[in-house]
Amino acid sequence: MQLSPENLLKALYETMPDPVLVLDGNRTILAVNGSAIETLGFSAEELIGTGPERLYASAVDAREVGEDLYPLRGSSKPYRRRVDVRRKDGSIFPAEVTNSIIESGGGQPIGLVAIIRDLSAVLQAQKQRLRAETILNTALASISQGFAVYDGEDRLVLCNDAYREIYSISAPAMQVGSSFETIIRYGLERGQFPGAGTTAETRAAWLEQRLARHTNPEGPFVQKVEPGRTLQIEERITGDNYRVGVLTDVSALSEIKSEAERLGVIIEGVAQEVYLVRLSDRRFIYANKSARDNLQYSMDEMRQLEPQMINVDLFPDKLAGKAASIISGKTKTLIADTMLRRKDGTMYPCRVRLELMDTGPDPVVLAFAEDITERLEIERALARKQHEFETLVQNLPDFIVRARPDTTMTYTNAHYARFVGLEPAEMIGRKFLEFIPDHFHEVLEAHLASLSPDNPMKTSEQTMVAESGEQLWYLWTNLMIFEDGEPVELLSVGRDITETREARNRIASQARQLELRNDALEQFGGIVSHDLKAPLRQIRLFADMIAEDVGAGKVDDLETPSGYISDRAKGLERMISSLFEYSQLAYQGINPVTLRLDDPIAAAWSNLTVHVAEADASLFCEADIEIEADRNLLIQFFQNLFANSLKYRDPSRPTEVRLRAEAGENRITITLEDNGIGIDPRNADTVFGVFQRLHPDETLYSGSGIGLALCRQIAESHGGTIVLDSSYRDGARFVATFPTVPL
Amino acid sequence: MVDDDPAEHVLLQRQMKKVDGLSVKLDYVADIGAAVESVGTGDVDMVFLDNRLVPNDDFRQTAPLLRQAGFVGPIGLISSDISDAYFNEFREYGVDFRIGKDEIDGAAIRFIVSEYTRQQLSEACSEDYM
Repeated sequence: MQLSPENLLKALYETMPDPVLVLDGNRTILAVNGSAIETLGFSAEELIGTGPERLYASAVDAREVGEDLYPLRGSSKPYRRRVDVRRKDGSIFPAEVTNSIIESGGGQPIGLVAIIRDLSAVLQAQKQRLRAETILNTALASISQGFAVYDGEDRLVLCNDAYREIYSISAPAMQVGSSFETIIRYGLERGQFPGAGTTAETRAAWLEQRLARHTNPEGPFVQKVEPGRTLQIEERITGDNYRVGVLTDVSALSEIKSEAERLGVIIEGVAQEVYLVRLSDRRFIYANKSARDNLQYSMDEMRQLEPQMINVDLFPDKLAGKAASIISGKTKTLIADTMLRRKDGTMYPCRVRLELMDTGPDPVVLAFAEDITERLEIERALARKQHEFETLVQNLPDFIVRARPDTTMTYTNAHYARFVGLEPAEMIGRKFLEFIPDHFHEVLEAHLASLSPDNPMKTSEQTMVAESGEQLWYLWTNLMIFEDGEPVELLSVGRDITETREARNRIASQARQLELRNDALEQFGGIVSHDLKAPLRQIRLFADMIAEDVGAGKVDDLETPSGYISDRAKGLERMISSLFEYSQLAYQGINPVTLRLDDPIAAAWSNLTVHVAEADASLFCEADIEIEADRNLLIQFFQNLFANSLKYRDPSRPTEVRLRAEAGENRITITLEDNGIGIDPRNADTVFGVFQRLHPDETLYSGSGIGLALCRQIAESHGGTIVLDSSYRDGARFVATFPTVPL
Repeated sequence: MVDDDPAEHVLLQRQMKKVDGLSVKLDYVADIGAAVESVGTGDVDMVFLDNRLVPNDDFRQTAPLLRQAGFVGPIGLISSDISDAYFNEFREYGVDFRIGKDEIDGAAIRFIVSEYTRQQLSEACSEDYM
């Protein structure tokens, strides 16, 4: 067959892989090719002369295609439509139908050629591709790392959610097709990258570096992004010039790393020496600065050393033996004192604490070492001080006791033990209470019970009986030690205050006497200013009066002022004599003797014999008791009281004086009553003052006015008292007390 | 004058005589009982009261007795020594002034009499005026 255009067209028509149908102007099939017969399942005879409608799976498609093409119109463009085609066996396949108009030689449309392209394989491939895309997107969304792909023109192709979340500030700029630089600039302007600084210059420099790294990636790098994250970025260029970036959030790792770095800095800087020794080769793998400085080795030199090379106190086998218990896990830690040798050969004592740090295949031992040179010196000094303290305590004249709160002694010094006639060791375990007089037990127990955390220390004075039987006074200072509010120990120190107490009593007695003398002196001063001044003034004024009268020639009445002068001068003499007498008594120390009380009473009454006779007085005395007092002062005491009774007697009846003495436990009470004119109760106290006259008429009741003042002085000088019983109405009643033994 | 020492009366009488132009009648009693009786007559314009009158303690007991007797004129306290602290309380017990016996002379008497007489006249005039 000759090759002609017709033959060529026929060959193409027959060999076309897609079904081809030729239809006329009435939509009747005129011809079909072999592929159409094979694909559609119909024979040529079954197709030719029929319409194409049964080949459409959808009647709508068949109708719409018919309406689009018929009646035929001239058109240079083929008509394409996606339809479903039904085979003879009823099966349907997707297809694209391309209809091309066939024109006559005159340009009139006379028919059309329909080429059916089976799309089953194409659609299947598309479906598979979509599925793969879905899987990829799901996978990208599920990974925590940020993932982004930029094409050859550096435009964003895709990125996952993590990428947007990590670059949250830049996320709005992450549109597919946006350039890498656009996205970076967007974030840079909004503070996404704290490492870029805050000035335009630093940001420009940072951007330039970032773009260069993006263009030519050289490996992973770390980037800080806001808010507060640290990223590890790894970028790669694919074979087709795509750039793939993977971002990993390493914030937690970074933090751990910085913590570890800080810890390392701390360990490096601590004053304590820190070593790490690898057990496999027993070499130092680390020594901190303190260790290196003290041992005078560099780190490199240290790494060449084994522990036994610097240890001079423990022999290698002993050291190994000690370390064995650690290595085997038998003990967790080991503490040992040893000597370490420095590089220059000098040595220093050291306390080492070893601990096995790793039980893996390459365990290490961590050693903390402390230079204890100073500590040993302090301990030695402390021991010396303790020895000195012990010596001091043992030799102190005070009693020193340590005891449990129930007074069971745990320590006592030798002095206290000697006092009770025991050895210190014999006192331990016995109770403190056993060694004090029984009558003090209750007082001491109450005293100790009153000690509290707020008031843990108190003192008390108590008598102690020595082994010799001697009774001494001790001042005990008791300190209770409390822990968490509970008493745990009692510390007691006892000091002999026997002499101090005696001295104190002597001083008290002297102070009392001094007080009496001062009172007397004060009273004396008052008398001088009051009672002596008055007559002197009068004498001066009367003398002036005489001088005036004599000057005026009036000499006829000089007797009155001169009489006053004489009278006041006599009064002054009496006062001065009395004061002298009083001051002698007031400043006189007493000389006590033991005597029967009725002895000075009788002597005093006898001294007043003349006055007794004048007053026709009688004494009724019940005083046959013993007293320790100054006899002369007692005579004066009773003489003044008797004189008072005789002076202020009631002239209408015989004077009776009744004296009764009663001995009490510590005091003697003397009561003296008379049947005289009595004393106004308002003067119950003033009668004992110096120059106190109870009656203005001295012609009737003469006297110096110091008698009762002397009685009080004498009573008080013995530690006694005298008062006027103001309730007594039948005369005067005085009640005096004297101590059995004068103070 | 109330004083248990009659010599003080003699001395004060003499001091008063020295004051020119002063005409004062000085009565003397020795105890507070007599003084109360005397002021009760209404003839006493001023009282010189000795601080200590046996058996009384001091002016704190005696001056109120004069006031209780109805005496409203000035009471002057006289004593050998007025330095004790309790003398400061004299106004509380109805005493108008105090003076040491050794301070009493013509000038003091003239001042006291004129001071307390003027005040009284003034009060009397004031009442008359009303």
